[in-house]
Amino acid sequence: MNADLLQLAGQGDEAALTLIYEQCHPPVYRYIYFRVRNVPLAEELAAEVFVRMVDRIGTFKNKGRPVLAWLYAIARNLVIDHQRRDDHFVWSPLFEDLEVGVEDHPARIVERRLTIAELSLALNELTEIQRQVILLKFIEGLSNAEVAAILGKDEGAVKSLQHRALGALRRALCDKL
Amino acid sequence: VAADFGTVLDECLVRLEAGVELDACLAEHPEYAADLSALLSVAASLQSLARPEPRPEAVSAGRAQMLSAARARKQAQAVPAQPVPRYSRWLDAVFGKPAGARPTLRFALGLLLMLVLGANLVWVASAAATLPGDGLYPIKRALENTRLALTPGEQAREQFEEQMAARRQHEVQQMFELDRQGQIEILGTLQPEGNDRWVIGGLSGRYRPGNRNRR
Repeated sequence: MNADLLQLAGQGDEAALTLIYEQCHPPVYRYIYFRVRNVPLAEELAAEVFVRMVDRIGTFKNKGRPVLAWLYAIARNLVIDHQRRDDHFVWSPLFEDLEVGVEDHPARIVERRLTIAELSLALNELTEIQRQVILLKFIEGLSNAEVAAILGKDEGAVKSLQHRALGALRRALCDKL
Repeated sequence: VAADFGTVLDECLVRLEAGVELDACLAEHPEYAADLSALLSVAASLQSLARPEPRPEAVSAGRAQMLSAARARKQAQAVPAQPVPRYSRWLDAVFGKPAGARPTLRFALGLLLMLVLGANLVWVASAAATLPGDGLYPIKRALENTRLALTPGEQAREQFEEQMAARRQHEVQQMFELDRQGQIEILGTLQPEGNDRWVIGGLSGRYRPGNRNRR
């Protein structure tokens, strides 16, 4: 995502804003979803992230980092605000928002769903940067260079973070299982 | 050691993604085999997860919400910025909003008015504490006379005159204490006290026409 696109978006160009939305909404949604574990709430907060982006894009200082880094920061603050406001997590039943596709075998759906739920719980045991490394690298499938750009680190630091994050996640999953 | 392991782990992740078997990776790094196996299995299970996706209707609604906010922001930017809206609003509440005046001009006029009023209040307050002989004393008297003229009703005017007479006595008392000189007008009945002494308005002294006297 280049600086020109951000500049256009800052001027209120709807095509530029839509392009940023299309590219960044899914990872932002997933970041929030893994924090709040509630589909409607994650959707609501993800939408709010982009409204805040529009409100603040005029003052956004693009220091060469991808806009997703900024959006993650907005999302993180929104989640924290929400949790402070409600003073607790909103827990949803594990299968509440499960959509069954015709090709999915029920047993497979349960297995996958449980894994996502467990992962989401375990991710909350990690530090913010460890959580972002796991999501960006293994859920979003980004390269080390892309992860490094978003986190503002070099690739060596990302490898080290990845090691620590996987170790922490493994310990958290073992505790949960 | 951690950095080395981090590099080895990353190499193995890349190779596994390229289709190399897990055992082959572990065989190349027997010293790390146990730790590598544990972390690579976590990574594999993460990569095998179906990513949670937002519902299409939520994606559309979120996009519409964002674009609506962008349009509102654009409209807001089209309106000239108010440099000091907080004070401007406050001044409007106090003095009313002059029709057609620009916010900057309104603020400047309001500020000027406040300064003039403030200066006047300070001036009047300063005058109220003056004694005969001070530069602002005539202002104090002029204000008193104006207030007397504006006081409705004979009884209220008499009360005010009594208050002013008490004030004059107080001023004289202060002048004695401060050992100051000044011309003072006292309204009252002149009564003889003997030995050229007279009492007027509760103040005793030698009063000779055309002379300034003390006690």
